[in-house]
Amino acid sequence: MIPVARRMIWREKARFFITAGGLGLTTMLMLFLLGVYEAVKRGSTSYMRESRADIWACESNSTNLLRSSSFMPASLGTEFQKADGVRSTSGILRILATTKIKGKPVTLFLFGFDPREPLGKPPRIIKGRAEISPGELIVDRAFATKFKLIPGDSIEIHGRSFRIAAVGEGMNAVVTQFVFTTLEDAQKLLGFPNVVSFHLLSLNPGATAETVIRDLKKSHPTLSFFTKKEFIRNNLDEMETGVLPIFWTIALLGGIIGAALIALMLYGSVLEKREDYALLKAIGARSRFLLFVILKQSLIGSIAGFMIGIALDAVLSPVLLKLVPGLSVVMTLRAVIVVFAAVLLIAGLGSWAPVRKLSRIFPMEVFR
Amino acid sequence: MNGIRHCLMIETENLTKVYFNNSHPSVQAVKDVSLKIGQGEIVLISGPNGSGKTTLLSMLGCLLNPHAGTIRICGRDVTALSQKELTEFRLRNIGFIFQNFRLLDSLTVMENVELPLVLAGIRRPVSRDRAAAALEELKMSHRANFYPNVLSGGEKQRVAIARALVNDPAVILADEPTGSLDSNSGQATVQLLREASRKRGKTVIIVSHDERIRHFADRIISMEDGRVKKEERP
Repeated sequence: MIPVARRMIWREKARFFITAGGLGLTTMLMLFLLGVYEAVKRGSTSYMRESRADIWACESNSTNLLRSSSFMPASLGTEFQKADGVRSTSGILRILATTKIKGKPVTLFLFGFDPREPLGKPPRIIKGRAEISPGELIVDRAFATKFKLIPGDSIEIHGRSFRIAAVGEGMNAVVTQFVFTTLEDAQKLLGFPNVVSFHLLSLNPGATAETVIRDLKKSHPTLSFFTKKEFIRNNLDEMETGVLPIFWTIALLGGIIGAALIALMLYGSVLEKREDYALLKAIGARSRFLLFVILKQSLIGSIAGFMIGIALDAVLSPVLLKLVPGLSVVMTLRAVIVVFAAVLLIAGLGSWAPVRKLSRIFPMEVFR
Repeated sequence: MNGIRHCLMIETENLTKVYFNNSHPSVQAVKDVSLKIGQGEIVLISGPNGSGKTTLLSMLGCLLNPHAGTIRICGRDVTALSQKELTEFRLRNIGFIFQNFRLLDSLTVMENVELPLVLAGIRRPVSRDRAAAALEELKMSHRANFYPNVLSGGEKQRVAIARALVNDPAVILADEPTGSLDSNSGQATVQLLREASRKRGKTVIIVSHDERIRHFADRIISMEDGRVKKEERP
């Protein structure tokens, strides 16, 4: 087979590289957005995923950790402890605290937990110790980097000074970072002692979460109980409702720009090579052959753009992460496949206008 | 298709073509043209600009549908064929030569010649061998791997002739084949077309203003205002 499409596209290298470069930037944007999305997803749920809690108990109508409020007596933990199958319980209190760090206003997603009980501990500590004392904090690495904080530094929250005792990972939800303190301190900041937002329950070996939840619902019908999996799903759903439409909108705009670039390249090419296409029609090229010539050119441009995008993403992502410390990107094979599928779709959409133009070229134009 | 190849003639009856402007007939480019052209015959169609030569050639080449009349090529009424069938018919039965050569700049000389074979579904290495043989016959083998932009006008036209002949079509249509060539190259081009007609029995129809072609033709059809004004033998 004669590589007509490849030769035609290669004949106009400048146009080809400009298009592929533009599409590369689009690909990079989509990959970056998906990477950030994945990081947000993981960062906002890793506390739950890495917790040893099998059941999350909260106030009725509250379904997630991120965007719902729940307040209940800390003493309920003792009652839950007595239920069949429950091994241990621990209460955590989640509050929003505003402060200023190095002159910049910051809203903290503050979690109070019992340092003696492993259920409510932050996911991974990379510097310092998890066994904090009153007046101490554990912050996320992204947060620490963003504000140039190290263990030993202090932050003032609601008029009280807190010393950073440790830096952890897996607490960066990008839009916000989780900060941990003792339950006692969180309750003091809230102004209500003996209050928690969630009770975390771990189960004895052999006990199933579903059975324990059924029993707990009978004894506490006004509360909500979720298995670990359900609670993670609830949080993901909540996060997707808030963040995903924005990401998809930006990705869609990127895709439209990519398709427009491909369309522009091919449309211009069809116009410039109008007589070549007329010749091909005149000497007996079937419509399918010509359609494939356009589609192949579109695919070549799109795939080249995709490769450029992957390379750009690999090179520029670390630079962006350095420039914006609060940002986090997680690249997955799934994201690469999704973007590749999007690029193929862009190739198809980008060929539509050129194919229409091609259909309006008459073989007789070869005599022009 | 094979059954109708190497037929005896092209025959048109009352061929008429009207060009429209905003749905209103503006120019009647060809009017009631009836012709009979035999196999192996070289016919020169001449006439002033706007006389309908190229429109007639386009219709004979199945590139343009007439508004009235019929065209029979190789015994087949091509005016009754669908666009898809016409494409297939052109591919197998008609070779084209143009004033501006119309070689694809993005393909090599070899690939340009090979193109009609590839379009006809002939796979490599058969297509390549046949293209090579066609180039050999036209003494262009040494340029096989060059791109057309480095060839002279005469060489380009030889390649175009090789491309027109490679599929072994029954009819060769040439639009001003010497128009972009110097005297020697023009002479050589016409000679090649004559050889194709004499040795291979191709029917060759040439549209040209070039007076030098007249004595190569078996018949000269002069057109004026879309009509055949005169038919003569040189």
